[in-house]
Amino acid sequence: MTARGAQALTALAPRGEISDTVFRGLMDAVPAAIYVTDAEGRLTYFNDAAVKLSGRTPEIGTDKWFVTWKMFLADGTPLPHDQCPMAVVLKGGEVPAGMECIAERPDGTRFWFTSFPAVLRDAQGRITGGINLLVDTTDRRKAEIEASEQFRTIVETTPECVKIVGPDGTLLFMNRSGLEMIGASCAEAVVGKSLYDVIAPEDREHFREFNEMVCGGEEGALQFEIVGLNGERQHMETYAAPLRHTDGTTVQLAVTHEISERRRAERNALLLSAIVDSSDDAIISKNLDGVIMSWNKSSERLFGYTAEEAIGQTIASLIIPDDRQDEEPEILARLRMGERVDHFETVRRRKDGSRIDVSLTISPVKNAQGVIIGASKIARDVTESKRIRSALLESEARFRQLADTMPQIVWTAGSDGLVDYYNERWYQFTGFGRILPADANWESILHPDDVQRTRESWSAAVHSGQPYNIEYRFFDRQEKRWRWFVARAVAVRDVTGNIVKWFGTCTDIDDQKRVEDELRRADEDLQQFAFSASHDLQEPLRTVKIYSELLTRRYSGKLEGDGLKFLRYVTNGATRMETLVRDLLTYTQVRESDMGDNISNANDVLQESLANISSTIAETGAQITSGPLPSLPVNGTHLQQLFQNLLGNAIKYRSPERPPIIRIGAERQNGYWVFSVADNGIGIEPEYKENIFGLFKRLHNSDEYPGTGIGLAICQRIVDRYHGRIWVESEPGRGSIFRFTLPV
Amino acid sequence: MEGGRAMKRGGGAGTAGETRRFEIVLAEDNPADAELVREALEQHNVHCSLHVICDGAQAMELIDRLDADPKEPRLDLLLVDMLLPKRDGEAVLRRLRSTERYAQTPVVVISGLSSSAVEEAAIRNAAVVYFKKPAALEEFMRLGSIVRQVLEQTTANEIETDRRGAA
Repeated sequence: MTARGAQALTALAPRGEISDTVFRGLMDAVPAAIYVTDAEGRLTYFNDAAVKLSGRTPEIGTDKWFVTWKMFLADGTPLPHDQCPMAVVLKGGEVPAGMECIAERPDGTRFWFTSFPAVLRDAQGRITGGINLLVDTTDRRKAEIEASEQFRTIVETTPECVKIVGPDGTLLFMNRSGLEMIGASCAEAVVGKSLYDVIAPEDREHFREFNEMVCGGEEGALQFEIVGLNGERQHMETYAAPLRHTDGTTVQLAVTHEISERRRAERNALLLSAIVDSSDDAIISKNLDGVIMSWNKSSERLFGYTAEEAIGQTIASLIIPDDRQDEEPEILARLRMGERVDHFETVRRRKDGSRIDVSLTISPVKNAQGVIIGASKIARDVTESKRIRSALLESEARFRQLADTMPQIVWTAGSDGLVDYYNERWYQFTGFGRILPADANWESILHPDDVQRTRESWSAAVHSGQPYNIEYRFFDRQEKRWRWFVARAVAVRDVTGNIVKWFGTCTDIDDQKRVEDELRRADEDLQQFAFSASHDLQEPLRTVKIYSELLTRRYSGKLEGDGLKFLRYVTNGATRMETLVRDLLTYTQVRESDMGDNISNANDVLQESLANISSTIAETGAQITSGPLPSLPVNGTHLQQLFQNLLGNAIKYRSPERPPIIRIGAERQNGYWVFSVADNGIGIEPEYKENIFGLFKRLHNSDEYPGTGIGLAICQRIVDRYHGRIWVESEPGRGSIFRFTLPV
Repeated sequence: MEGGRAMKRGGGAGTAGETRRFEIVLAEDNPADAELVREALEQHNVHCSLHVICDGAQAMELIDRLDADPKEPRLDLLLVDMLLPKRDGEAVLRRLRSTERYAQTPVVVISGLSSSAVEEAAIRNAAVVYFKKPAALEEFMRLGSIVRQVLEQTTANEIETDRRGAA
């Protein structure tokens, strides 16, 4: 019955809702001890189970709290009567739920019980008495104690060390076997102290980490050495698990045993033989007479003999070819003197008689007294590595042969950046001898102005592994002048990505460089000329234009026939020339220096361009639409010239049959913006598609379509400056699409 | 124009509205442009004796002479092309500004070039107008109106100064 049940019962009884007889019958039927008291604790009622549990029949109205017996707390300390759970409750106090106590019967036997006391109150809430229910827990307690006794016995009799260690390394418990292992006379000598003190210094850190790991909640095993209190070293192996300690911390519960020397030796031997067996090398032991004592699996694979066939035979008779027989006595002689033979390359014979290239490493084997009793021999098959080496030599020879036929200077350098090879061309060019180290002289023929940046660039490449690429001047001793070279090098890496070599070339670009310079100068001169010419042309042109106007105004009435016509020719010629000069000036002004690095919004630029030609648009009724346009790193003036020229053309070359419809768009392709200006004009015959972008190229005479033939050349020149392209797709009579690319 | 040898004295200090004959020197090497300037002045009724000088050196000589001799007629306005043979327009301007009589004389710079260097030189030497020669007749004729305004403004200032001096 629960405490709440008891409370319900007491609540019912005094109100007379169930009869006293029924109540008593009910109480006697309950298998738990129940008694009722008044406010002072004097008994007013108890049931049969209470008599049975306590071993006596109490006196109603006299005995208090059912207590003629002695009571104790769970830890064995005596519990005074006036502090028993019922007394506490009647005084208005509280009792911990499930608190266990021990009681002694008059016959001296003891029992465990848990009590569930509750108070009875009147209508005003005053305490009028109490009711208590006692549950006998003796059987459960007994079982627990027995289990704990059994466990203690196991722990104390096991030959293994059982211990509990706190997170900080404090030894909390250790069984007798454990104390013996560490040489402690009694538990007090070590319990409460740090266990780390007995761990061998070299293992202490490992052990500490292990303990923290286990106290952190993980299981594990560890091998370590201890130095006992008597100074004795022992090798230990432990299995540990986390344990929830009574104080709430997690501690290490460990079972530890000593690994004996023999067991360790056995383990080592097993490990060793596993290594020997799994080795790719043939591992053979022999005595000083050359008789084979052991023969691993790889020996079998390498030489073809099984261990049974080989053991007991001499090395000389089994695997040394006839022409190498003199090697073995020499090897044995060296072994007897305690010398070792390292990486001795020779030839051995297989069971099938074939020969095999091997590298031998042979070491003397001593017994416990230090006397040489035999040798261990490791034989490695070097057939493959020999083949690779000769292939390597051959490929290097081929590389050199190839390098020597190249017109460039070819060189290689180590991963440290020091040049270790030059081809023939280098020695021809420099006149240097081959005696010096290859790296010795290259700076001495380098132009003084180039030395510093070449050093820096090469050093940066060597450090980063990035390709090396630089232009510099070497002194040409034949022509007695500096020549420009471009040097390039790439790193050659092994499978793991480490640089093993640099492969480089120096290519003579002097002629190319000079042509480039001349070309650039010529281009600059031409631009300068075109600029000045168009500027200076404007002056006399202005005079011609303005006077033909004056002439027309003042004298046209006095001219007749041809005179008027001629005057018109002069006026028209001057106007055309003015346009021509202005466009030419624009063309020459498209220069790289104006490219800048500002970003233009093509939508804005297009709006400006449309505003500039708004009157033309209005006159022709052109419909111009555009898709979304990007922002891009192009000078806004350049972009505006492109739009204005292409839009101007699209309107100018409109079809006489329909008003112009023009669509502008841009899309991204392969890292470029491709702009398009599509019209529904007269189109262009395919054979002229390339022509139209040239300077002064015109398809129509100026009576049909006025123009200078510079507009598209300006477009071409602008697009060229940005390394872009411009082209036209057209269907004659239907329209044209001009496209150009600009950088993103 | 023979170096402006004979400059006639103008009609004296006229009042506003009265036509007055101004003394104007034009330093311009291109006779076609000199003719256009004359046309422009005529078109806008600027009554003046226009003395045309063909190079910078002669222009400087004339300025020196006009400055040295108080009997010479007073110069009312200098029109100068910046690109002149021998000495350029700026040298002429500097000489004018260094004289006693003409340090304040209004100057109109005319130039075939649209160049910031030329414009700056004009401003540096206190030219009142910088006129780029246009390529259309009607626009060129505007020069006459500009000169007229400059002269009227100067005259008004002079009358104001005289009146104060009299009082």
